[in-house]
Amino acid sequence: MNHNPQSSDGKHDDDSALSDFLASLMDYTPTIPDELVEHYLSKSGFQSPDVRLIRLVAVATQKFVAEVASDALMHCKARQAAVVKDKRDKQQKDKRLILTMDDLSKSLREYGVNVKHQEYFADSPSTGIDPASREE
Amino acid sequence: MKDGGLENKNELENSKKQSKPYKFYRKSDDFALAIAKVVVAQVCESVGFQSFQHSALETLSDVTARYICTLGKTSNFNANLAGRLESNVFDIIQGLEELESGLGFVGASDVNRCLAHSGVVKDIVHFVGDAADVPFAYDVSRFPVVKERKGMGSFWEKREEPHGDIPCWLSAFPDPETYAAQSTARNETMSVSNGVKTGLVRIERKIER
Repeated sequence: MNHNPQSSDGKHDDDSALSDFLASLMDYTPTIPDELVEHYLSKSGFQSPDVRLIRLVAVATQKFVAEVASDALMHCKARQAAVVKDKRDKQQKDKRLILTMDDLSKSLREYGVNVKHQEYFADSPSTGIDPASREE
Repeated sequence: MKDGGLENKNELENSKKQSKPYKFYRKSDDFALAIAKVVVAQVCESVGFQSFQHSALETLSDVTARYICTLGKTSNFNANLAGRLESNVFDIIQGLEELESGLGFVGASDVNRCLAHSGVVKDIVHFVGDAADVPFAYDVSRFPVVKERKGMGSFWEKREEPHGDIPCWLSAFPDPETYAAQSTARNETMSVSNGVKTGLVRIERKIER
């Protein structure tokens, strides 16, 4: 007796789509090696005999890194475009796209990771303080 | 009069000694972090970057390692919550949804959503379809290498009769030959240690004076 034949077929399709996707992951080689993912997963207590799950985590992590990197690339290109508008004679010079901490911190902030980079390093706590306010 | 400069110097030294606890960093993790750096460099290259600052690469590889750990921890927690020891794909999907909840994904507002056709999985399917297949640059063997330990062997394994009420599954006593030669050496070391002890007592008495 099938009360909802369409919904059960739909669910079956979704389950098969998911299992097909997991099977296809074995053909795709993610950039992150399985050994690295297994190391960090075992450190965090994750247990599973299924290799497809390791691949899923590897692919998800690669997607995350690619998204962060592409956001940082957007910030980098926007910054270079703003500079080029001001100094057109130097547009040949700054073509190299470099991953900097500024762009990375802006991109990671959207993902909830707060990375604050030191503006400069001082050799004593009183560096930069107005000399008149220092105790003699 | 207070010497403000000296106080500041002491505070600076104290702050150097009490360094912030960096719980995540372990010396034994250097190899894994080095691999993560290569991975991140390859991904950045595939995205379009031509170079990187070292601090930026280290930061992003650290964040990558934390992402994997967080995903594993969340999946393990979800599995334990369901009364299981081993995680399955739905635990991982739930963990991914938690991590993506900050930015949002398709179907996040749907309370009755099914994990099998979650928006997060669809995004990953699109990514796999569009992304180029860039394998890792080096061959990585399984790590860390587990050293095989040879046990002492129990009484039962060594086919020895344990005397007294010692159960046979406990480790057997070492062979007498292994410690018989040390008994003469032990007498010598005991006299040396006695001499060291009297020397220490003399030093303590001097300090007390």
